[in-house]
Amino acid sequence: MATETKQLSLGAPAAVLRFTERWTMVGLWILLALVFAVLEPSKFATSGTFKTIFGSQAPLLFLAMAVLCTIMVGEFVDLSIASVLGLAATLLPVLAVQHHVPIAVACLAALAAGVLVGVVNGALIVYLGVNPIVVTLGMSTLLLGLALWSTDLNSVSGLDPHVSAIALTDVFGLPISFYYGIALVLIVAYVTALTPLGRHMRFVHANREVGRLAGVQVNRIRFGAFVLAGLLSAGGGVLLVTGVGGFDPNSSGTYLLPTYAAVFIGTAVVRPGSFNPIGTWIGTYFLATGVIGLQELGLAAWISNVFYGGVLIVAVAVSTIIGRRRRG
Amino acid sequence: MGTGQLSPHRLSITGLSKTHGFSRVLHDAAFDVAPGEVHALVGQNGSGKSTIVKILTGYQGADAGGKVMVDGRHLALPARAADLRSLGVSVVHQDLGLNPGDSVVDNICVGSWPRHRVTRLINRRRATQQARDALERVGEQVALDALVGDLPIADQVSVAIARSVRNLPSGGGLAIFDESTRALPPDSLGHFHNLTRALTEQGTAVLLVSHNLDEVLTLADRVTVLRSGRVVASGASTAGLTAPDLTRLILGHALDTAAAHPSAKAGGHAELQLREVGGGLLTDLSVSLAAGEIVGITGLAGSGHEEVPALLTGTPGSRGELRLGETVLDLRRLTPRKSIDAGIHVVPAERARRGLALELSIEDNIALSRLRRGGIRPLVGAGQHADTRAVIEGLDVRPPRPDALVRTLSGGNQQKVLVGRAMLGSPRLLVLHEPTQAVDVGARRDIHSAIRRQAATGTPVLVIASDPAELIELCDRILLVHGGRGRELTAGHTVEALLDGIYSEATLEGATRHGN
Repeated sequence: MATETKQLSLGAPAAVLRFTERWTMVGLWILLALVFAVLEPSKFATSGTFKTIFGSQAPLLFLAMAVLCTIMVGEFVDLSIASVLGLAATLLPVLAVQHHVPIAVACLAALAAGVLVGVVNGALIVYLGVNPIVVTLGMSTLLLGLALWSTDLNSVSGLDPHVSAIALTDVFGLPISFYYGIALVLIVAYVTALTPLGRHMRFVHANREVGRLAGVQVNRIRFGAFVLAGLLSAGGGVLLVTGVGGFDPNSSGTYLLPTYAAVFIGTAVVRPGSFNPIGTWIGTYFLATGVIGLQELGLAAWISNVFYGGVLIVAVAVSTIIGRRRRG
Repeated sequence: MGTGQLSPHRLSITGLSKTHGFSRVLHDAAFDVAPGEVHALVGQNGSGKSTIVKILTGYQGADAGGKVMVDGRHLALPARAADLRSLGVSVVHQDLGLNPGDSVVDNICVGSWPRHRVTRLINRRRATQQARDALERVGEQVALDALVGDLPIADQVSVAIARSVRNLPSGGGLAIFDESTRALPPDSLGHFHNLTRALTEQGTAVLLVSHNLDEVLTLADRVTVLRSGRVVASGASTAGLTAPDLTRLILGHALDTAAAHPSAKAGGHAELQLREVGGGLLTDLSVSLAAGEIVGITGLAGSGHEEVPALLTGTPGSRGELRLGETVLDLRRLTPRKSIDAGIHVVPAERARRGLALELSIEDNIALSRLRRGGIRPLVGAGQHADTRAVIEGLDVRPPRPDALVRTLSGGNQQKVLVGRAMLGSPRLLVLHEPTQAVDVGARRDIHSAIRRQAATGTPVLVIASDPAELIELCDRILLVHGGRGRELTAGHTVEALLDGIYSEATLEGATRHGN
């Protein structure tokens, strides 16, 4: 009530302000694109750039959904997701190219590896109560080591070009992995917003003890979130490596920060102050627009680090401020 | 304040008030503490006594106009640590406030280490000496290098008190014991009391904040009672005061106004039976309830009655049997989910920790009662809208807005949401733990009538509470639990009979057993 009267006293209807609060981020995104289009019209305002932005982010989006799964049940850090992506993206070509395993089996093995990591993370954190930062940080480094071992410290490549159809089949001008991302976001949005399971997740986040006394199987949900995070991260890895054809395990760490940046930007959209899948989707493509635009302005690769890092800090700061204001 | 030396009071408080937002939690409090006395400060939760302690220890400021004098010298509010030290005010925190992983010396000196004159490093030698001196002042010898966690409880008590006297002037000062003994085992209470008396014999004054009325009566010379933010007895002598007298002062109930009439439902067909229920402090409780009967369970703190709600939602280590109509549940294998499936709806005592998710809306919190299974078929909104409306209208929740965050509601309205939710979905047994804890009179009335309405539909109701007046007002029958065992109150249905029942049993079983 208090916020409403405050808003009214500003002279604008509350509904308008609520709308602004929800969609400012989308406005910024469009503004960012316009700025690039004006500064570098020949490069940025092309269908090629459009395709690059919307066609390349599916692995990141899968990682972001993985992070969202754990964050939504109150587990704030799963630092192992990027390494799970790396492991899956390494395992698939190693099995398929070096060991001549059929491609479908290799895909399944990569996904199973992700699930296994999720099971181990979940068992240690949920059932043994080990500190999640330590478990997932250790797991992250351990998996990177395993991936490097499996490739003898090299990058792997040489996947059959036909395999790329899994990720790159053209649908209405965009690779099919873009639509996988949309489908995943819609499923997560449906489950979290409209189903009893989603409500249970919200209570596990808000107050575990209340949930437990109401018959919610708190630990099972937390465990499930880690397993699902493993599966989705591995799915991102599969999409990445099938699209590109090869992978360098050393590069997996670079996926961690953009993922968290996207998830936190997402808290400024749709339901301000809370983590939500559609906001995360927008955050992911906002970041891609920014980085690709800056690169096309002629800035070197270092700009992505500056941009991701800077945006993460700003996004978290803004979501903290929104949260505090909502708290009154 | 140059007239200080003439003041006969160690501590003198006048006109002390505290306002949080729009609610005044302390009105114009005034009392004084003499040198060398143990002065108790008692009152229910929310009566303002912890507000006074927070003001005296500098955690909070106070409203303008309040005056706190120590030995006639003015204490500027909000109190600063350095001022408190120079005036000679120290505190022993709740549950002693020691860090078990550090040594005795570290625990005594933490907060104000003696430093080397030149290097400004901690001077271990002087620290050890100061710790030894402090322990000597309380007349105890404890191995200075031992880790506090390895010491017996009695020695830990000595360390905590030594720490509080270290910065007090010899034979002077004021030590505030803030619920210090709450978690102490009964056999170490005697030691605590002896040390306290030794301290006051040297001239130090002690302000004892305690829920344990027996401790107050055995230890304190005078007592100040707070009720709803006001001092209702300022420095009354404890000589001749009994525990029931003190309880009445604290609760402020006139004796016979609340006397109610047990209904005629008792003796009907047993709808609910608890057999040999035990777990935690509770060893043996058996009771049967007829349909629609409201039965209270009470006892002194620590006697075991507080375990009942947790046992009925499924807690490891519980035992006994629960029969609800045709359903028989073994408490050893009970889980929250099985309990809910059997129709047992429990309102836990700690509203914010176990009852409600404060950051979610009223509707979200109420919807939880319908969501036993975490399926992925879509929710139907209509049911939960109706539920929310039923709770808001049935208990007059304000503001009547389903989307209001529970955190923004007053305590009374939060409790209404919690109790109302438990009544949804036709419970077969309603278990209420302190159903009107920290709520105002109006909310209490609304909650009581909702409970009676639910009972009138035939639901048996168990009320676990510590306020005798509430139990007499609400319940058809009352069980007293003492030393883990339950038995029926037979002496008559009045507050006085209930208090006598609670306390006379206590004296029969020996004074050491009712430690908090």
